[in-house]
Amino acid sequence: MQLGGIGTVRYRIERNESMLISCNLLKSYLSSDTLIDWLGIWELFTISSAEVERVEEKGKNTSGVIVAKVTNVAKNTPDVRLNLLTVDIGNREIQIITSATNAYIGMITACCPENGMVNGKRITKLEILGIMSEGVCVSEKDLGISQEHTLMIDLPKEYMVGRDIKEYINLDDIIVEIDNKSLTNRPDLWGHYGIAREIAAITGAKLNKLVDPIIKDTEDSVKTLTATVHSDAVNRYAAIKVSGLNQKLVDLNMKLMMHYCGYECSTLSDLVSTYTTLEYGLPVVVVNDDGIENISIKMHQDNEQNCIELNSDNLVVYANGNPIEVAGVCVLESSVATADCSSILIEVANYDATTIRKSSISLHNRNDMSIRHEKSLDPEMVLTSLYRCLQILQTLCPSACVSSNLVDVYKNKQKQRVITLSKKKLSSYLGFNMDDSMVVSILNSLDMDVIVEQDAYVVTIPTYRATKDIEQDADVIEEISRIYGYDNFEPQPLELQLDTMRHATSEYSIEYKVKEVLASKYNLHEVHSYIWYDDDFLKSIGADKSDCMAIVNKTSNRYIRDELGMSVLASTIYNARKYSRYGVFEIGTIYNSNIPKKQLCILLCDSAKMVGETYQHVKNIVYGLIRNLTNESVTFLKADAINSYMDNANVLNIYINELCIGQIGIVIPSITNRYAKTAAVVMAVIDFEKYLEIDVTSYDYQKPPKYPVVTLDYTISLKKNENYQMLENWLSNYSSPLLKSYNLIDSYDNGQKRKLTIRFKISHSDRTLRSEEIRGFAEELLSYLGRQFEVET
Amino acid sequence: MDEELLELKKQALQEIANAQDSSEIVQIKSKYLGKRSQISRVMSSLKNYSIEERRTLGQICNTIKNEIVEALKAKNNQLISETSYSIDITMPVDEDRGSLSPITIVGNEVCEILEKMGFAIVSGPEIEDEYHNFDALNIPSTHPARDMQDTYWLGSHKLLRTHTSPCQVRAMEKYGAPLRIAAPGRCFRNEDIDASHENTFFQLEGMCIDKNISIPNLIYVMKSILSEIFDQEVQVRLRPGYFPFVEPGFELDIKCLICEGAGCSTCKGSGWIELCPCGMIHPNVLRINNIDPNEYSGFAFGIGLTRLAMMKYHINDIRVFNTCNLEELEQFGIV
Ligand SMILES: [Zn+2]
Repeated sequence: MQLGGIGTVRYRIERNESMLISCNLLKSYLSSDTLIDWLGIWELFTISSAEVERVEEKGKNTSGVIVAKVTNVAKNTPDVRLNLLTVDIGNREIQIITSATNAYIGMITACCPENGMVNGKRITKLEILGIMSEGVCVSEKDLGISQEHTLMIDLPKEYMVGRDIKEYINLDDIIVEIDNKSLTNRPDLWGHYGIAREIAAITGAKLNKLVDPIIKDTEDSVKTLTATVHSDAVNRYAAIKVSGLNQKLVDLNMKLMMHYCGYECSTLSDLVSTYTTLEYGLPVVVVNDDGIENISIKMHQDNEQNCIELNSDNLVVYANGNPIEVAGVCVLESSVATADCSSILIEVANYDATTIRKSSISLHNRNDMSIRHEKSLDPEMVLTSLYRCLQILQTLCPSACVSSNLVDVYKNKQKQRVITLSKKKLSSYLGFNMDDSMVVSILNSLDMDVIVEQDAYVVTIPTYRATKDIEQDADVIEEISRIYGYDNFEPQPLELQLDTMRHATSEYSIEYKVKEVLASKYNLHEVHSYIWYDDDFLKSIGADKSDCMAIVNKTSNRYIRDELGMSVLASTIYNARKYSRYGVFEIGTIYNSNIPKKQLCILLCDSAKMVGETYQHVKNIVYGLIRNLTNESVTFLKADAINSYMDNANVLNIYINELCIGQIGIVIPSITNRYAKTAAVVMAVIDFEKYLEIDVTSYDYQKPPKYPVVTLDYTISLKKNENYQMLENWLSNYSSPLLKSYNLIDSYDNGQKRKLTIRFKISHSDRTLRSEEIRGFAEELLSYLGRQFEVET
Repeated sequence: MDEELLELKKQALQEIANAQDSSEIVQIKSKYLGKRSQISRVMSSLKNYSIEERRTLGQICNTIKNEIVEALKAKNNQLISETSYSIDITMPVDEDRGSLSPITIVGNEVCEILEKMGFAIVSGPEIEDEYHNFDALNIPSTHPARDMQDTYWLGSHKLLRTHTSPCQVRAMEKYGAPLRIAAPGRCFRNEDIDASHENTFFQLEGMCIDKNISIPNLIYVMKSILSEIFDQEVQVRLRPGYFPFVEPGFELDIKCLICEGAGCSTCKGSGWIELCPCGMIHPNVLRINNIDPNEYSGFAFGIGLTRLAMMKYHINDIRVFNTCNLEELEQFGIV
């Protein structure tokens, strides 16, 4: 047994994301439709109800097509593939050459003589192989009835020769495309009748009430049909059998309308079930009746052998114990009502939306039927739809008769909902007080009954809006405000509020300031690298990140980054092939053992020859960033690399007071060299949360010294094993009441020797220093320095 | 006498103009202003004149003297700058400039506007739990938005947030009502990437809760933000839109800025551009987060920063926003 293919399910021809609405069908439900501008109304519909994507006028490109009768068929044309027809067009006979092969004498068809227009194409006389053709024969496709384009249209015998085809077939229509997404929460708008009801509400037009049709019960021997439901996913299931069908009786007007709405219907049962589906929204299903007596509906069991393609997510309809359809999704191939089937079972049901959604997804078969069932349509409409289908069937095919009792299993009855809406709340949402009379008239136009109380409205919601759409007072407020018209609201400014939440913003402000400084002052480019690592990069540098959090449903690049440096390096390093020097930064979140951490990464790339300068530049940037916030002391201390991509030799930890906030280092050359042989990359990675914790209040105003400051510069020669840090450590232990500060002002390195020049600033707080005091300080300092370093004099 | 002096001035100024270097300036100075100069002589002979003549002549001498001094000074300055430096001032500028991500720029613009209206700028984690991303936003477990295929799942009910809306929940938890927050951030959806689809994109969430917050308040705030961003008065319209965490929910359109509503390719002929979903906060959302919907109401909106940046910079490929390619980045500035 196989699942049905196309044809077993109702498919929109083009796509399932939108639905096409026929204005001719809408008009049939409204008794005062002449006041409605059917081209213009859709703008209002868009802002009050659902988004209209397109409005198209059909039929206006076809004119002068008339009913004709074939009076002669001559095969003796110079080309055997062509026929020469003589057709009666009422006032005269004309000759037409056609490639269609289905002409016969006496056939009633349609043709377009010269000066007429078919689908925008003006028809002229044409000489074909020496014979004059005075017009064209018209196919169903030419008229927009179906896709059939090789055959002449075969019209009913009652059509009067010489009349305009539009007198019989409603070619002129306005077709409106509505986005399904915007109907997600409006189950009532999934049928034409619901759309007409909405138009009545927004325009004041009068909607014809639904009347359940009277069914002609003609079958003498009504057979017994039973249905049992074994699943809570079935809210309601109704079915009836019909026999005596002639599937060829396809009404052209109805077929045209269905075609305009995107459906191809080739059999009577297709046509009628599609038409009634589009009327009320609930899918009407027709299956072949090969003696169905008992129906049961239950979830499919995995151990069932009867249909291997089904699974336990599928709700299945069984007839006499055999599966005939996946409920709400598709009819199985063997049960499809084909063109020669004269007995059918008509079913209309209401299923649980989530069950159908799961079921259709599990079969990779989301289609027009399943999408409708996902919308929680109104179960109260089940019988109305079923009767309507029967009624139309019997109108089109008088020989059709009911051949079973009706079954109707209604397990979860949809109740009307009553909602109390407080007047105070309504006013608060609307921003003004709406008159009771206006509230009542809006709600009444939507078929909702209202009892006006002192402080509230008690609103009864019709079942077709109560399935999942309107559940509480806010939903009623939506109804009132959208029908009132969002365009009619006057914008009102928010009342001023004291800045009670300003403090919450400081983090954002600092982050933005940092970004701005890095870009504008240091010319760095901000990047956003992906939150996941790039597998290729990890592999290329031999890094293993399989300990990181991983995205379950992603096949590659699935590990969540646990260090920002690696992520920035991976996503920017390829620039080194084109750029000899560049700088980038990112402030981003990483996840370390499932805990989020915000980091700042600064990355500078330059030629390896310049690595010293680049390193110093990064260090200066880091220093500058901290100094932007605080006066706290910043120190850099040699450390071991914490990141695997950093060369252990030149790593500094960044400290603010005692707190280490990050690290500066050089990327291992073997990584850099993969991308650019002569480049070197220096990076700083800072724990941004610790950076944010810096005490910004520590800005201390310091008076400039009152008495002159004397500066003394001394140059120290460093030996091979000495560095600045050692000098700094030595100097930091020197204390003198006169010494205010010292700093490195120059460094010199000729490869043999390094020389550092330090500037010392001294002053006295109460008076100008005397020259002997200066001399005394200098001697003392030089002797201290000389104990450890070589000072040039 | 007067004419003689004026002739003298003319001669002096001419010589100053013709001077080639500073030594000439020294000579000219001594010739016209020195002790033996004609002006000095006239000055010292003033005592021989009547009081009336003395005053007139003295004035003329002083004026002429001052003019010559000024001219000497100016010429001297000119000579110094002409001779001191030799530089090529036509060299090209250093075009090496940094850049901010267009997302940061646009996001900050929106944040600044909102801050003026009393909104605090907050943030939330990129890895969320199901509760904050879905449940607390009134998105039930059966809702299609929770389908496996649209969300990046990390296991144990964690996921990459699919929108910035969980920031609403976190703000309600942290601050309660009343509340005004905006949260820019990065979101993730399981999408195949092409010019108009990205799996990583940027949004800004806005939320305002207070007593008597109304639909007209929402319209006002949205209109103000968008007018400031696009630097012109924009027309907005609300249409019904469905999002589980708002009711009523809206799609907000702005009148097309290119054709001003007449219809063009940008607005696909409709005259309107769909810009952001918004709405009044769903009572269920308030209730879940312990805010009484009978006391408070509020609105929320989501602005697609990626979309906004695309419009502002006329970028038609969404992938640009996650690029780290300097050739692309260099085109963006700092503002
Ligand atoms: Zn436009």
